Amino acid sequence: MSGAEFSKLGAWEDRPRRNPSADLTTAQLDSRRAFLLTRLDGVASISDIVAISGMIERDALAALSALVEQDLVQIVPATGRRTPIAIEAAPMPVAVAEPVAPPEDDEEEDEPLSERPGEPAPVMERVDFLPDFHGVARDDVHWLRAKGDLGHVPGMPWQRLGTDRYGKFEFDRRALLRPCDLTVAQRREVLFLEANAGQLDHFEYFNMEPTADRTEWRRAYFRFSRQFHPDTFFRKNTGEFGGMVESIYRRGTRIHDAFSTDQELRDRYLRAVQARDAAYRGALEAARERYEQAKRDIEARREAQRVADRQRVAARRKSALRERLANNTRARREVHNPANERVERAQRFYEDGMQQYRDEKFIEAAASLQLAMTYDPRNEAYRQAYEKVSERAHAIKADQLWKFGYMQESVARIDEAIDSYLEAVKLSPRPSYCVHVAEMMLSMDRDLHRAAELARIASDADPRNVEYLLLLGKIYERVGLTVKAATVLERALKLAPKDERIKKAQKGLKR
Amino acid sequence: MERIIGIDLGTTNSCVAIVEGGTPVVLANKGGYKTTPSVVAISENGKRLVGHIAKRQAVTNAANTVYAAKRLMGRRWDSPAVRTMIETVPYTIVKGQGDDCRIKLRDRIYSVPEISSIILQEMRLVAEEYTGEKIEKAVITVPAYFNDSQRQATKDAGRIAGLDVVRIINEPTAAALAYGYGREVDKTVAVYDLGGGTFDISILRIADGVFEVLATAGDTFLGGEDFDGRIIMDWLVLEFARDNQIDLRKDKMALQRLRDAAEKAKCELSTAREAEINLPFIISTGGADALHLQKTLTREKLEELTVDLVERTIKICKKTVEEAGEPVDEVLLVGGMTRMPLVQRRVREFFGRQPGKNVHPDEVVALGAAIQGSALMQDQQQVLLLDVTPMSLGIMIVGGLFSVLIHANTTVPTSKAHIFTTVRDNQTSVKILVLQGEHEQASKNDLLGEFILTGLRAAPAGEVEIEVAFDINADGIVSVSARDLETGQEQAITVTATSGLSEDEIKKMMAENQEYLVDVRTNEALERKRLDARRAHSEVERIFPRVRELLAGSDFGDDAIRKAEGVLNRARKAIDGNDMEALQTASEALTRTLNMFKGVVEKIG
Repeated sequence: MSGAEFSKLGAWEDRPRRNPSADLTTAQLDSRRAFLLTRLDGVASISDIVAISGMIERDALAALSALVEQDLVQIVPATGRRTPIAIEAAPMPVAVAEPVAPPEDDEEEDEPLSERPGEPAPVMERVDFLPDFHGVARDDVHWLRAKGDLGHVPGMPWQRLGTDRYGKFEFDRRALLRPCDLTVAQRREVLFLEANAGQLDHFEYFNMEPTADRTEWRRAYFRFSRQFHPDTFFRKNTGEFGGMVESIYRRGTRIHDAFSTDQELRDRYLRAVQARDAAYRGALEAARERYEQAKRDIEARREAQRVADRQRVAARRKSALRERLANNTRARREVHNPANERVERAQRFYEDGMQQYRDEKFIEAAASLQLAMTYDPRNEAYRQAYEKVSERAHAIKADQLWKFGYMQESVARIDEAIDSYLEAVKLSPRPSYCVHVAEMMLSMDRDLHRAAELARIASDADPRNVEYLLLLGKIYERVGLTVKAATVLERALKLAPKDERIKKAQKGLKR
Repeated sequence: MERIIGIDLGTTNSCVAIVEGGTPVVLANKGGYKTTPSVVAISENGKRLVGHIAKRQAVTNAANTVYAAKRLMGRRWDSPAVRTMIETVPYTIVKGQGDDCRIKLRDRIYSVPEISSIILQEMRLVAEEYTGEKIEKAVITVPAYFNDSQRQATKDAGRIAGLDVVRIINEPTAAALAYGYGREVDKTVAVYDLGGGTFDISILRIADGVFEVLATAGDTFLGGEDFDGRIIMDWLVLEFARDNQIDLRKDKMALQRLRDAAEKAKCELSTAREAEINLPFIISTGGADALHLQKTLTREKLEELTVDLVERTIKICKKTVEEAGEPVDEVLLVGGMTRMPLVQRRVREFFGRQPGKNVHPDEVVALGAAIQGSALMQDQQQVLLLDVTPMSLGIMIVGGLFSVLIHANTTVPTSKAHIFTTVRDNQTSVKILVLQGEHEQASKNDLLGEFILTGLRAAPAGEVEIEVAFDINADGIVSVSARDLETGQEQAITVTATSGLSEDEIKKMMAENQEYLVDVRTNEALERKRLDARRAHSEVERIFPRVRELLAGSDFGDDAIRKAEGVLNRARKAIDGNDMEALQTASEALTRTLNMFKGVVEKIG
């Protein structure tokens, strides 16, 4: 990278300002860019911004240029002297693969690096480049290939890193809850095996360590049979799992049959899996090594950069001071009243905002009015206008968030959905919203105090709603506030004296 | 809870068991025997006879007494096994519509499943008698080496008997279940099952309550009947013919007597060194003279006559042990024939260990069936049986060869697919012949079904690929599909084994049986009532003289005595008659009278 990269920014003295017509709600912003955006007041020069950003110079410039590229920021060229932006190229860390958290205990080491915006922290590359049969002897590969899918050794071991068999596998929560005679543990295993049949090696399929011992193998197979043999489900309702259980067991018997009748297949397969695991472990080790090295390199480079930055800033300040002294007389002659300029600017933003309000662009209007308030905080008219508009804006924003959350919920990303919902009710605490998210939090057993608060908001807004009271009562009971729960249920019962659910809840409470 | 009984439907004897409070028990029939002969006869007056009664009258009614019907189960009329049977049995075997065998008794023709259903029915009644409940579900055992149609015929027999056959399991497996049930076993067990008609050897691995069949093989036409046959045909008949120039085989009654005598002698020789065979008036010589048969059979002679049969079983054992590929820890002997010292000696020699003594050879199979039945009903199963397909399954390929897709001894359910190609240029259709058996020539194996896949692309030989997939479910039902990998076109069949009976026939037989069952049940109830009434009657009569003495003279007394006499008269009539209601009333009246009498005796006397 060279100075040409920052040509869009112009000169050090130019002033960046926010583009009033840009829609910040939909803009793609990383933390650095967002931070810079808050620093822009339309008066400070690029040089000032960089100095106050606390970032490494080139990072700040890169972020700024990205903002210009996104059309979120406009550059107002300075009228006086313009020093072209040019800094010498600094070495960048090696390009890294798709960011993934390193597998083990590296998170803490990561923290200090990501605390301040700066050079990207090194990430551990994901070891997923192992092709099929990686590390397996060529002879075994050919032999096994001829065996069709029974000889298939997946390139990646499943979750050799974690202790949990299911790792990051996402379960269909709906399927886990639907009524049938399988236990949840059985359902998890069924869904897992069904979805990953092709990715698991035969040992993983039977949930055992690869081992040459025939007894171990049989034990695992017997355990597997106890779980999936059709006799286990004789006269039981397997619901939608029936077909899956059958096909899983069929695959199991086929593998077991092949392994118990074909000694050579067993030997070669075992050898292949062990070789693959060894290769994988090796690759993982190498990746970890590279990761550590990159971390050390970056730290060293960063230190060097910091020293260089400090020297350069000092030099520039010195030269600016010298120049200002030289132009002192001219500067004094120019009538320059920053206060007036701010008021004018505030007025402009206010007018923009009101126009946007009339166009029913509430979010944009709110943004403009906020800017107007920032420039002229003493103007009461701006504040009133802002309050009026921001309510509408929040409602719209809340609706958007709610829709987004609903989308997440429908694809079973429950936790993320709850986050979105919470965001939405923070902006606009409608009772129906509050109740929905509180119910979800109760069922997921998540931050129940917050859930209680939401249920209370709903019930305060609509004190005669029995459902709300019932929910609030349940949440109180769950968090252990039995007295409160009792009071709430009492109120509910007064409203609906015949409701069995309330009576049941009260009974449960007494117990 | 519904109960499932276990029935060992044997060639010569059958046995029924049930699990009671976690313990499997064998149920004794009315005669007090734990096994019932698998013999069915139709008496002169058209009455159905089963079990011991049927066996006892066999000599006088040989042509209408069926034994060893199991050997005909699911067999085709033209099979060599049936040919042999026709020559040796006294009853008449005829050809059925579906190319199956039927049996002619008196003026009616019975199918083989029907005969078996009569035996199953009897076993069911034994169980109902014992439990006092209606029994509707059963696990029935069959020899491990029974093929699909033999199994289907057994199922049909169960249906005709009004039983829902929840599972058909293999006899040796059942024996192993009974052996391993309720205790910690971690062993490889060989079950040597030599019964009346069939021989089976199975090797199982038992651990953690799971029973896995490692290998199984057998011969469905090798059993006690063949040992008897050797004594009769190769020795008694031969010797008699040499001495008297008369062929005893021509006389059905003589044949039946020989059969009984041979079986008896064989059983005696399990403990004794010699057995006497004494059959006076075995045959008449045309005039008034009659010839007698008197011989002594020694154990040595018996062993000489049958040693090749025993060797045949050992040969099969050897192959099976090799296939199982694991050292055998324990040997179980099942079936009456394993009482023969020669058999025990050869088994001991072959396996190099003393066979286990803690299973009852006649009862263990039924016990195992009952255990499997009760295991299926439980939520947490103590035992889990991993049964296997006894024979290889595959299709016919070019050159009339048999290409195996699912090997024998694979745990069911399972599925397997394989890709085949066309063999001729521009071949647009393929015929898939589904076969079962072990011979490499397709024609030597059993044909289960066939279908044709058409619409293939005309291409040079070997270019079009067809995937053939086999699937066996837990009930052993086989389905086969063939798919053109290029066009995705698919054809499939579910192989339905047939016993030779059509669905209509089975339905008809079920209905007939239902009527019979109602008759039997009412008869039994009637008999019970009659017995009660008779008991009360004799009790009243016993104390009547004493009461008469005590009450005589008083008005009240005379009246009471007259009334009592009336009750006794009516009761006598009811006991002689067949009216259920009259019996009931008489019984009640008798009880009242008895109580009154007892009161009188106590107060006055």
